[in-house]
Amino acid sequence: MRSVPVPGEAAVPGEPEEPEEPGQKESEDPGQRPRDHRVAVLGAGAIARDHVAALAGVPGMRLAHVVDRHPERAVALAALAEGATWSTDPASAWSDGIDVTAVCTSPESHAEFSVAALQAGRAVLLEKPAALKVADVDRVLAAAEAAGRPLLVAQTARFQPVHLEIARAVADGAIGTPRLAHLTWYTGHVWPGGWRGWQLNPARSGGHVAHNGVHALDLLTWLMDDEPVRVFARPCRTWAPGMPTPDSFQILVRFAGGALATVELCYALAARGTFVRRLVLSGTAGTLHHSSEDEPRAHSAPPVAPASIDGAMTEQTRHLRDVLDGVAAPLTAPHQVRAALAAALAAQLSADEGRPVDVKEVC
Amino acid sequence: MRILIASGVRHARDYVPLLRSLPGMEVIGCADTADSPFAEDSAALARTTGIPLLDLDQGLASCDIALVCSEPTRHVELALRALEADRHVIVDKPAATDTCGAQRLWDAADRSRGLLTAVHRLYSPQLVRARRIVDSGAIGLPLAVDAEWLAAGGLDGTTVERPELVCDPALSGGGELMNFGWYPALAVRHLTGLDVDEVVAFSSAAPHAPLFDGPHGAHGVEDAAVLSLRLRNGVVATATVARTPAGIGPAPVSSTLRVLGSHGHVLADEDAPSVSVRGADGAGVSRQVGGPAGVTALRRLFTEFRDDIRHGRTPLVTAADIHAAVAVVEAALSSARRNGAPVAPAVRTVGTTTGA
Repeated sequence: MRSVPVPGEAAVPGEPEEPEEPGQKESEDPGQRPRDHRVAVLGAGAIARDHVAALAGVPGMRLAHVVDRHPERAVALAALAEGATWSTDPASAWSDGIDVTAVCTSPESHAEFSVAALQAGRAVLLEKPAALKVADVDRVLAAAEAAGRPLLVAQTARFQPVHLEIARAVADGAIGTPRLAHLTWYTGHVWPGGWRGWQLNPARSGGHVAHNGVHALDLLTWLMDDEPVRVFARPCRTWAPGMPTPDSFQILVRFAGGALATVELCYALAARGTFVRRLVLSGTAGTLHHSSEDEPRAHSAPPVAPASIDGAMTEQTRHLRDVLDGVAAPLTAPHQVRAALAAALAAQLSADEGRPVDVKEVC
Repeated sequence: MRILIASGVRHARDYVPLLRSLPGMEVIGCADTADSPFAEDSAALARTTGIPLLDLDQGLASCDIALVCSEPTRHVELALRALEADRHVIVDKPAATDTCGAQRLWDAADRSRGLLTAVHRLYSPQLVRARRIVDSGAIGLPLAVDAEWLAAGGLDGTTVERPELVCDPALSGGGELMNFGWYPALAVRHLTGLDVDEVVAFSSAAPHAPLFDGPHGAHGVEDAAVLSLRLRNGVVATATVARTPAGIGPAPVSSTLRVLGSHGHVLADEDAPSVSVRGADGAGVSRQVGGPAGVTALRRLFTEFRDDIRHGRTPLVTAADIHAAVAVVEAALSSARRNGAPVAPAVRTVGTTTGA
């Protein structure tokens, strides 16, 4: 039985209850309400808006501050939470009175802002991809260790209900040791609002294979408890043949222990808002299979996300609170953060150059 | 239609009763070459099924169709003998273990008065339906295909007669990529109508260890492989093939396909649709609607080929399709040996082989 940690569950039996990186534990006096964790959101784009919505749904978490270089965007987002302030100064996201800095800017600035926030003693929730270079994520991880502050990378796929259940099954030994994975993620179509800015600029996003592929690679790194060592990625332009970056791609993965995986990420479904999510995970003692096709689906617009993947952002925020409360360690272990990012960057290089790439090439 | 089992090794034990259940089909016997390493298998098949054990030339002279069921590495030689005798031929899968053999088959089929086809699963109900949906235009232009072929369980006598028929390259031509890669290669071609220009494959074969501790490692062949295909016109495909301790569905082989088009998509699961039955003791079984897909596909393959012969129709899988599928598998094996280097599948060269 493996000891894959799953958020929302008690610590592994036999291990100390105390987390590795204690958060700000509040007084446990009966009748005294613990102080809310005050979150500053740095960046006011679409993903920041999702985080703000999730914060509103998790007791103990409070949006305190919003930073964006465009005042009108900062104001608009701050207005969603009572008492939240705003600024155009990034340093205000890790100033006094802030407990957590949620770095939601475009990826090229992730490392700089995260290191600054950690050095200022703030916990950090870092949007994916953690950085655009392995050396930069190493700086972030080192800063977190030096500061002794929690760092959680926003790999929301881990928090989707289906993946939490799969992680529990794997941890329970249901399939033995995972050895072969086949991950299918189809979305219809494109990503909302995602074709107009930094996402199309590989220098800022890392490229689509890195930018969105890191979700799948992180998920497999976690579930298989192994690190990708060689990848091949093939891009495919479906809905946007003229765009500078492919909307869809496939990745073949070899892990350090020899395990193999096929990953498909495709934004080619015709109806916007529809999903096909499928995962086959074969292990030494069995096979695990999930398909969102088994779920009830709406046949009218607008569709809602399948129950198997809905609510991940809220679950992630709840986990962040537990980390801050000192009752859980960040689910994204540092070696996994590094491994997933390195694999994604290698996959992007593979897609760009049309050849298989050893992950160590980008490290 | 008189059918001869040409070497009664792989799958013949399943094919004979099925053929006998089909109207207008008569299994006239089983025959093998004098030097066959599996002569005893043919004799055993004859004994257990009650069909005559014949001399190969005698059998070929008396049949309409030769169904080649030897170990894979002898498929081509037996099929050539039958084609040169102007018999119609069905070759078990994979029809050839390299493109040299596939090309010899193609050349012989061009010369023969007999029709050539091979065992496939394109008549599996869900694949038929997927093709119909693609052809209807409902999903627009196919842009990407994903295929998954998983064998459940090990290599005991219930699934494979002997492990070496899958694992020993001298008999099988390779491991699971050779054994199963044939199916998705044909399916991708069937659904798109496109040639494959480039194959990239990672496999579990040496120097890597088998993923599932089967006998593959002893023979240095893969028990799993993942493929990326670049087809003409920018279309892409993936294929995942493996023999895992457990499959997905109730059948020994689970296969699924997804086709993404410009205006929609289609998903096909060979195990579906099914009916779940649960007993009072809590035990459950799944009954596939219309019966197991593999059996349905075979039944239709045999009956359609019978009609192809009667009506002068081209079989669904031709010598060209056989060559193309074998070329994809061959390229995948080559790529996997080179740690995923992109490989272009071989194409037919004209006039380089003889009927020898």
